[in-house]
Amino acid sequence: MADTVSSASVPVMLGARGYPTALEWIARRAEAFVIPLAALIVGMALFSLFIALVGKSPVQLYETMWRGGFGSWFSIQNSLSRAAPLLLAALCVALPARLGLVVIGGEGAIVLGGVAAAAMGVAASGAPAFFVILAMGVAGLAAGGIWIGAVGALRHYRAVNETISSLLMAYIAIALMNHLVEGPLRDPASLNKPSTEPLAEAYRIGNIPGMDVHWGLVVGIIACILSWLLIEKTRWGFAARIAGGNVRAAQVQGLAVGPLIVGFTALAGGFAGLAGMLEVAAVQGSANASLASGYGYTGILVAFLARHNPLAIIPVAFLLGGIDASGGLIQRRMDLPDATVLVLQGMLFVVILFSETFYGRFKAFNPDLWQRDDLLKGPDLLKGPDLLKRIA
Amino acid sequence: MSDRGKKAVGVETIGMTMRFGALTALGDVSIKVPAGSFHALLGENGAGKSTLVKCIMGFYHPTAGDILVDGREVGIASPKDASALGLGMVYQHFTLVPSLTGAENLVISREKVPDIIDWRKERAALAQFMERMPFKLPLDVKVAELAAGEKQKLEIIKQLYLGRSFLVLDEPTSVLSPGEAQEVLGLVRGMTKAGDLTVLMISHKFHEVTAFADDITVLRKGRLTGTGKVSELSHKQMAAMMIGDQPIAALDSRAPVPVGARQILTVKALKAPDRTGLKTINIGELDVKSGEIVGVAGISGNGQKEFLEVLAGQRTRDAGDVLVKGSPYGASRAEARTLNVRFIPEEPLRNACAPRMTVAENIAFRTFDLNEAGKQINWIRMSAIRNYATRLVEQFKVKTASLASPISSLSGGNVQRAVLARELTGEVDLLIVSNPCFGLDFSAVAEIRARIMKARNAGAAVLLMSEDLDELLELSDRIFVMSDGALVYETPIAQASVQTIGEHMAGHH
Amino acid sequence: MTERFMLSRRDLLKTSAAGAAIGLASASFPISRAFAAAVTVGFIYVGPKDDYGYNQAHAEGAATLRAIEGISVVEEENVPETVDVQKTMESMINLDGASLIFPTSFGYFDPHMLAMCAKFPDVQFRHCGGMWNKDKHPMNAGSYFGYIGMGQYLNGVAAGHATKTKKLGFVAAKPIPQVLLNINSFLLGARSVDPAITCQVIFTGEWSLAVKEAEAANALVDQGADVITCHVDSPKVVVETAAGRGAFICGYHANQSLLAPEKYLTGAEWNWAKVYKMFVDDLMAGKPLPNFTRGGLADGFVKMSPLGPAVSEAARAQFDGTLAEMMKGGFSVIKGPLKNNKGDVVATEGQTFVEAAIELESMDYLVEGVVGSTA
Repeated sequence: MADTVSSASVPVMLGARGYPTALEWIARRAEAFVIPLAALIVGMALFSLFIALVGKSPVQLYETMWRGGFGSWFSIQNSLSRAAPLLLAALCVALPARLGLVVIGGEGAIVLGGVAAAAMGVAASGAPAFFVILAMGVAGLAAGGIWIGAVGALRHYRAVNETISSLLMAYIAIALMNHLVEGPLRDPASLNKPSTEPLAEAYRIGNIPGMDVHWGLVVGIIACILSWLLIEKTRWGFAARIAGGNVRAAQVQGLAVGPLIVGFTALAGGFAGLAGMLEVAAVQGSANASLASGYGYTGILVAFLARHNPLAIIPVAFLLGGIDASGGLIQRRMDLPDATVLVLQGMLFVVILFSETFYGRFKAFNPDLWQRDDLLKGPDLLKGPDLLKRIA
Repeated sequence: MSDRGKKAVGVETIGMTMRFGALTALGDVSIKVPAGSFHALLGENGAGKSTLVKCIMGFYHPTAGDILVDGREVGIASPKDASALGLGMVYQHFTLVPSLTGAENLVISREKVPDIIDWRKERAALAQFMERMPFKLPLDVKVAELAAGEKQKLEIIKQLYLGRSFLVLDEPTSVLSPGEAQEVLGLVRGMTKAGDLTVLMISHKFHEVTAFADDITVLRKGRLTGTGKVSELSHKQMAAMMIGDQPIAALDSRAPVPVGARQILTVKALKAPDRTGLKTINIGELDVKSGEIVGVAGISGNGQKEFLEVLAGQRTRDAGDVLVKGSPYGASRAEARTLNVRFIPEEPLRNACAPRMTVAENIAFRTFDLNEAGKQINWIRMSAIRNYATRLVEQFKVKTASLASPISSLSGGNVQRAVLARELTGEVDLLIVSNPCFGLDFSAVAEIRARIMKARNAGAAVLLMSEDLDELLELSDRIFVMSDGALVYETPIAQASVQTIGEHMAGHH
Repeated sequence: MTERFMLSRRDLLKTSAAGAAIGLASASFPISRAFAAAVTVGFIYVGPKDDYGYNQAHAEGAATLRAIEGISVVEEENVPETVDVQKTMESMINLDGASLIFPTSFGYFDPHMLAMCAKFPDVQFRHCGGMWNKDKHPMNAGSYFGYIGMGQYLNGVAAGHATKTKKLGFVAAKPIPQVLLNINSFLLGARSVDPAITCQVIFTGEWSLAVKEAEAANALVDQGADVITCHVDSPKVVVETAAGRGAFICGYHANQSLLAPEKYLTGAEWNWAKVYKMFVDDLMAGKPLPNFTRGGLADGFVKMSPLGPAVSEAARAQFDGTLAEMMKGGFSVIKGPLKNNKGDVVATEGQTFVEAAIELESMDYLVEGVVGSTA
């Protein structure tokens, strides 16, 4: 090939422009930590202004937040308990996002997963606990998976916008849940709060030994790690990233985009359904209207803040769990309304989304910019007349 | 509506410099475009042509340097200032509203449109204006129904109607048939000769420059590398100014197609809906043999894209067969793999790459799920992907800062090299290519054509769709013309004439 | 506020030094109070404190405790019925030193409050809803609730006089027994004025769903109803929408007269201040708290909003008369002969159900004259 195309050798450097590969690796990775962290700090600074504006002390606020969310073993467990359902709820957003889909209706999958698990728990009553809990998990996964998988199928095969359809289907799911727990699945004894029959004590999921946090946290962390492996290390994940990066390129490569979309959305919904199952088995003990408590929507926030990286979901969920946990203390100690925490969440969300525009902008983090200006300063450039003379 | 009494203006830049942070996009460039001249601005992609033009048009504020209009120094702070001075620009792509008529497009493009438009008055004024124009155009037809050449003329007329007397034309013929290009540039040339207009044309095509321009200016890497009268320069000299002393890849000599070469691609009675769903594309019969390049010419929008999408499995067909080596081909990954079919779509960054994934990952798209033995694997190995990419980047001379750079950070030519590296490695029996050199610079074009020719000589059957007739004439063994969704003309390369092909492209037969 | 803060901090150091000290070691708040708070009481609300409804009624009750020397009140609003409320209770106990907690939403009881009762046997929990059962639930838990049906009956009396169209409207959340009793009581109150009056009911399906509540109120007015009441968490939307359409209003949960001063007839309000004061007095006096307490109008658990300007003299007379009779005790809203709106007899001639009657707790019908369905 070289003999016919060009004899000039073009040096290819594995590290960016000759810099050591390790330095480049660090620079590229560091960006993903430094920018969100800086955004977090900016967001909190802006929030300080807001707090000062309503006449309260930002110092006291952050001290209270620290104490309420992170400052003691009790507070950390409090934050972790709140983070547990967010892990799975965020995966319901992050996995489709890697395929370029914005699914915001995880709430529906959570609710139906919870109802399916509760129904299974009652139906399988009497069987050994291990099998019942397993069956409940499968029921939750399946219900959520079918629900969000349908959103993916509508998207791919019928070109229905997945954002809108998932949101609308969440409303349908909640209505369906209300119908089921107030009708066919209602425990006649639940007079003023319609619920399914309570789960037998043996089928409840307890706390992690030594902690006041239920096993859902472990399930959520495992799900995040598995999702990361799926996306980064398997051929399905790689194919999904191609399709998410450019669906035309995936089609040209003959990748089965339809099954990929349906598979990933179904898995995402399955995780949300599992979150519903855990709510029933570890917290509520039965399915009722309390299942629709907004975890699906907070999950959207978590996934976006984590930039749809399943591993990053873990610390982000913990952070938001902590903010949520400290919200109570802020109300009680500083006489601020509950909405204060929503303002903080909103500010962080906006600032972090805005920080997206800074990726690739800083030379320190972007090896592609290293030495680029030198290319234009090359000494080989001749003024036109000189060159003409040389050609002649 | 301003009056067209204005005569052409001349424009001059002195020491234009534009820096974006550390990047110097334009360094100390002085050009002179006298009133009534037709000036060509040449340069490879990224040479600084559009930066210079954007400085003149007020889109950028140059870091240093002055602009003179008719010899007087002017400050151009915004595109508004530029249009007040009579400077206008015609873009590579159309900016007309397709659902409105030509007349409506002209009237609404004015800076001040009255709240209530008195169409009778406007039409009379337009008719008067058109009388003074050398272009004849149906102004009462919706723009969507105009041919590409007519749209381009309307774009130019729009600028004149707005009172502009210095026009920048940004690759004005890239969407036109050869005949249309000749006509439009001829008319513009006539207006400059008459002293009504000054033109600064950005172009890649030497034959257009030679035929129409008075003078050229050449930029390379943000610097002025040459300027002079067209009459005194050869194509070779112009090329040297554009690319410096880089070597240019030469084509493999064309091995003759062996007699009785195996038929690789067969398309029979293919029918599929077009983008609008209103028309059908209809390919009666097409076959491509091993070791030949079959070119498909046509003006964009005549069904080539849909035909390609059917071949690539992105569009369902209504009827007909696509066979590769005798087996039905549906473009699945497994079929492409067993039949050795490769596909290189146009605009590779848009159609063949995931822009934010790394160079290494993009190069691995075809093979990430295989191990060295060619067996499918479930767990991908990044080290294998990196090693594979290292080899290919070296072999295909892809210039990248690093394998971990996002592929979108590469220049167009290097993106195409990376795609070629991916698709031309290993055994290739059928290669389907679409506009492979669109928008690429000189040396990349030569190299990429050489790669395609080499694949042909190695025995691949190549189906080449291109809107660039020069490219087809250079590479093809046979040429088809596609018009209105059908293959309307076929000629072996030996008998091919630009004029006949052009007429079929324009649908005159 | 600061005072409260420092008090609770001292409590905290006393009660749970080990866990919290880590977090507090760096805190720089002075501990300089001359006296210690005897009692910290926690209130938890499912919605906002100023919802003109269910939560506001509780918050108003809580606010009256603040005036009491030695009582410190901590509150948290918008707490969902999930693990969040468990953690909020825990946090109030661990960080604020609360020794008495009122989780006020119905859904907080099982499993959330019960889990905390088991975990903190020294803390007292009292839940609004009447679900405590001596045989099933621990002794540090308890229930309090009010009978508000007679309040809705009195609403009905005022409405029966005000209506011209003889059609009333009721925006309801879910067809559960408490809500059904309120609907039935409202209509029976109105029928004590004119037996020809009917009441259309619309169920929204959720306790708090502003859009549907507004739609329901509009639909009722469109169908000719000219007096509207409701049973949803926050009557604000219903009151404003209906009053905006020119209908009269009967309030619920709290006093909504500020939202529609001209159109507001009266309202059935909770008077939780009395209940909370009772618990706190017992606690301060060192007496054991009652585990189960319920009461109605006569007991002061429920009160009526002052009658509005649109209430006629005749209405006022009947309203006052009925109220006086109720205060005597033994009044029955549900009494035979009475049919449901499907024509089945639900109470035979001479049969009466006083407000505390256990049969009313499983009510599953709408009485004759109510237009609507429980399913």
